[in-house]
Amino acid sequence: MKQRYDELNRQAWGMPDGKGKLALLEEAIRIADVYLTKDDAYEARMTYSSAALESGFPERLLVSFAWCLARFEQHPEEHSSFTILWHYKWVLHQVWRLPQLSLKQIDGLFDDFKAKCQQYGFSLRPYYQQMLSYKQAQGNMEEAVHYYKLWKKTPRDGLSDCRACEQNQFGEYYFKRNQFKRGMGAMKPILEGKLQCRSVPQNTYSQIILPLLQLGEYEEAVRIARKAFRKIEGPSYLYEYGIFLAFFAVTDMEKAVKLYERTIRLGLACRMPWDRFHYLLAVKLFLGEWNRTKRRRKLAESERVTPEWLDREVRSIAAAFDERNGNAYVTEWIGQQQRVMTKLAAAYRKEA
Amino acid sequence: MATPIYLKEDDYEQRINESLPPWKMDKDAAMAYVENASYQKPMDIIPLRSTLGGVEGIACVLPYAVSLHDEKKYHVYLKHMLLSDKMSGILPPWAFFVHAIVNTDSLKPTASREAFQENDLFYNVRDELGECIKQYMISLSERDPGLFRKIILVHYKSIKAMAVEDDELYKLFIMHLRFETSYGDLEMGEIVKSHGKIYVASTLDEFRQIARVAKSQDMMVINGGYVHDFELARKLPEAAEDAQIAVLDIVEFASRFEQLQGADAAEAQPFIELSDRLLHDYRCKSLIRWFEPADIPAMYNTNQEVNFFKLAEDSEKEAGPLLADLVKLVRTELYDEPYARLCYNYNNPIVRKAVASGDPELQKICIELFYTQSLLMGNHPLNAEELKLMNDSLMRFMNYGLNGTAVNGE
Repeated sequence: MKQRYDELNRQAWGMPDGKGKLALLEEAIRIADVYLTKDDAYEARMTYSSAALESGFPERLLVSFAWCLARFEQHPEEHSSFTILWHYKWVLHQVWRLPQLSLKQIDGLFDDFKAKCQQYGFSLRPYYQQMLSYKQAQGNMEEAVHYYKLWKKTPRDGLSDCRACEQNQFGEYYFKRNQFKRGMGAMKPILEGKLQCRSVPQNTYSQIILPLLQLGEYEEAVRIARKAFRKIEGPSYLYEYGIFLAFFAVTDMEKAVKLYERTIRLGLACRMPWDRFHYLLAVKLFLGEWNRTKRRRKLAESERVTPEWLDREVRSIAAAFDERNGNAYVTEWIGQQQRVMTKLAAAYRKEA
Repeated sequence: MATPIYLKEDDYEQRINESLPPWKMDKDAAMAYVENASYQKPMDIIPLRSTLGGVEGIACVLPYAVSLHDEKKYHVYLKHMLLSDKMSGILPPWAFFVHAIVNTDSLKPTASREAFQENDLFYNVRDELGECIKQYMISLSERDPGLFRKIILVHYKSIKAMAVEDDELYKLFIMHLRFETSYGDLEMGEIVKSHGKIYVASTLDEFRQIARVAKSQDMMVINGGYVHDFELARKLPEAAEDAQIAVLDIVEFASRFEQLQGADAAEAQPFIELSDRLLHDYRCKSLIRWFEPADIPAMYNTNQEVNFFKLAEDSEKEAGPLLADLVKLVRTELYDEPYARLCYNYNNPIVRKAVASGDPELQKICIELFYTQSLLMGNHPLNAEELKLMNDSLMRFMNYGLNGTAVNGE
């Protein structure tokens, strides 16, 4: 059985990120559970956790992580506290994306992470950073500012995100506060190629598109979007695909259609409400542009993906978030995106 | 280099450099040059040209299959000076079936002079070179169909990657590409000709579960489990308008078989109900149908979610209250609980005997054995409870048999 386990891992290694890869790793975990050691079962799940994130199934990370954390808590001497806490950061970056999870439950998880950081002698810097993302997603800017300050003030250590990722989030923070110039300043070292990592600058591109439009730098936005279109690949970038789908719908319909056809099945298969919401909202905006003229071509999944269905889907997810958050932030986001789209269309049609 | 360099020793004299770079040679000379330099004869030479980047070069079609992950080592010259003999980015990623030798006059090298600056010009040049390869393949299909097919045969992996990316190439290649199907390895052209309705299984595992049975049901199922095959199959209507393609729902697969009628159905009903009760905890529902081949007593089908659900249940049991709630939420709110299907084959004599047996204890043992055996036959891992189930039922079964012999012997 060890042979079969190794063979499954080997096969998974050679496969592109996606459901097929996860299926192999899931089978490997089951084999490890039944026939191999607890240590193997733990490692198999840790591998699975990162594959789940990269394959566009972040909710599956939560499942494997829960088992690993429980095991770690029972036998902290057998496993690395650093690695499990690193995974915990991923988890904290996901939990607020589920509107079904109450604020109390989310806070509980954050508290637990904080306590573990202190217990194992790590800096609280990543805790504050995750808090910032969580508060921003809730539309709670006041608390976001508070955590931003704490984050910047607390010293870095091994558990902190790499410099490129942090720099990227500094920029994002300014954008959220509508300080576009300052945000672009923060992004500068990334765009100049001085700071990069596995996920930066790929996710920087999507973040600077809107600010560039706000600053009236339309040509630069087009240039960045084209670059991103070439560079961004893989199922973990659904959110980014959404941003560019909406952008290309106005600036380059041919590219938009290509992107739509490439990503729509991924989007429909996405179960994480936050990611699903943003992508489907972008599809809604894209279809709005697409339907402005009569078309002979039929788009993929056109029977299922209709404007009415999208509207219902997007609004119901937004309502679920708003109910949990006790505000109207996510629903307002829909209107705001529609206004941006109108503004964008006006600007580019004038340019053209 | 245009200036000749000679190696001279006593009376022996030999020129050791070529007077022409390979991109200035005619095809035969270029072939000979590449063969001489790399000890392998390319299948063909594709001229490369980009006006934007002042690029001239050749792409040699490799005579052996390569993997997408193999390191690409293109030889790149800048103004006739070798810049790098292991550059990978100058051709699009799908072009891994060729080896390129190119010279450029206008791309800008990086400060270390090991690569080019990846600016817009660079990407435009790359696209232009990719276009050269595409157009060449299109013209080759008309000019020399024999060679065209030979290249496809050797480089189907690369060509599949190309066809997924590009609609024009998709239409050119798809009918010549081979796929694993329930009828063996076939070209898409043959698949479309033989069957109007085609199914595609989304994973290797699903395909294996049904391949044998599908053929006896006269169903054409393509294995979509290999890289790109699923996407390629699903795009089929773009190239063949009449072709109908559907994604196979593995769990519903068995329900299309012939249903039992009248007395047979009535007789089988209690057996199926018993089976449902016994296998409920293993998250498996039962049904009975008549299908070929008769030597398969029962077929177990599961989609991949079943494994995931077992993981989720384990996590929920192990985790502390906070995370257990989270896992439960993922399992119940984001996913529908999947059930596997165990389909008994009424065409199989042992199954018919088991159904007809009036002994509920014996029926129970049969059901447990059918279940575990079909798991084993389908290469599904058995968990601890299933292993125990198999052992227990085997022991009881042996006991039954031994007791029976004893009775007969009296």
